[in-house]
Amino acid sequence: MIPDDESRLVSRAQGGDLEAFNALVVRYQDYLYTIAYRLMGDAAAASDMTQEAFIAAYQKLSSYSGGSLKAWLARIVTNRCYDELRRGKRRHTTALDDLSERSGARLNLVDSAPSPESVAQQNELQRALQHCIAGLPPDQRLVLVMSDVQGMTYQEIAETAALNLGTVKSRLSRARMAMRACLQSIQELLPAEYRLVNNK
Amino acid sequence: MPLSERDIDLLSAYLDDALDESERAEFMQALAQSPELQRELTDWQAMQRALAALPVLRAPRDFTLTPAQARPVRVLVPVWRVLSAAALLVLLAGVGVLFVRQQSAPASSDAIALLATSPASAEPQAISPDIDVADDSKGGERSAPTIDALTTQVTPAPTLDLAAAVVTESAPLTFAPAGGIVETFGMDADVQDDMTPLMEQRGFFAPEAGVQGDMTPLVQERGFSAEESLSAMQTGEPPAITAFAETAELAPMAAALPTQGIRSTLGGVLEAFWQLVLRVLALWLGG
Repeated sequence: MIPDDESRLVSRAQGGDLEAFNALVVRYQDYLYTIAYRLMGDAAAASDMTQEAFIAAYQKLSSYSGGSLKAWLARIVTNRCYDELRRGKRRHTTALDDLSERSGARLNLVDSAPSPESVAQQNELQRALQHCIAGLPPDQRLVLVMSDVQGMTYQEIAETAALNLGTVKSRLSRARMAMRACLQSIQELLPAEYRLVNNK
Repeated sequence: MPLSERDIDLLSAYLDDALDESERAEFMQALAQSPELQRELTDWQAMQRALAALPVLRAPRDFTLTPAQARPVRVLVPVWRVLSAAALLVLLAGVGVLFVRQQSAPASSDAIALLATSPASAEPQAISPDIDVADDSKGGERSAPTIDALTTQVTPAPTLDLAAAVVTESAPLTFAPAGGIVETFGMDADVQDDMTPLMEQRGFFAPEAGVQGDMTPLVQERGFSAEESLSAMQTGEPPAITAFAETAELAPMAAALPTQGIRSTLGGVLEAFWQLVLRVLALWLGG
């Protein structure tokens, strides 16, 4: 259900009120940036995609006809990232060590854990996951992030990425298999409680 | 035993609760029989939980739009598109001109080709200002100057029927004294008789008697007057026929050739093609 104030902000923004639109930007910029970061695997690229997505959203706000604004914005940034990945402009893959050094400051958690040790372990796992996501082919990365990170259904993924359901299912199973193999290959870098049980 | 592709697909769909009844039964049976599949399921579930638990990151900066960013984007046609469109236009124009010239060239040289294949095998000379007007060393034994060569080479147009009529009569022009200067503008006197039936057959002229006296305006139109020609014959200097040698002079003549109909049709086709090209370019630049 769309909050009343969000509907009012959308109406005002559709009328050209930039201030109202920017209030929506502030509300969703963390969410959009996170999606972009998961897909692009790079903070600078994620920033570019997020900014472009908000500009595009403002310019085509008249085509927004209700429903979840959050999902609508998520589709815009996802498609932006996917187009960028398909064009091959950004083929970011990083080694795990590089990832931990480079993006340590950017992986700030919105809800940080209380214990420093717990935070460190969580960060290790998140870096490992992000490293493995970034190593997937763009097609698989897209469906994995939409499904397992954003929690979208097969149908929503199919509509957003313009794919049929069968393709979504098969790409997702391959993405998960590749993720599983990647995580298994770096198990020694993970805290013991996060290691996979199947060590074969 | 390694997992099959089918097992992997069923496992993935099982995680999302997306199996139908028969698929679920199939998967549960495989799961019960395969410790490998059981371990895989455990790992996949852990991985899925970990991915779902990935935190929302804090945006590294403010993404609010400035008025400049919010301004509607003006769609500008890229420079390379304009340049390539211009290059295409020039290329097509060039092809069009060449095509038209190719169509008109054989027609204007029809008479020349005719001469080349005539039984007299007299090779017509090109008309040029440096015609050897007088050669007394050959004893002055030459026929009167005629303009038949001019007529047959470059004037197969209906407008030259009068001149052609003179040729048909095989008589010298009134301003050209018989037995005078021999060298003509491209053809010896004995050739003209051979050429006449052939030219008539091709319909280049319609012989009419009594038109010789009217040749003066026509000759003047061709760039030199009867007096100039006569003077040239007497002094040994060539008449000023440069205008006649100009290529530009050929164009209007060629336009009146029997291929007019074909040329019009081709012109129509070219024009339609041109319109189509312009429309495509407009669409292209618009896109």
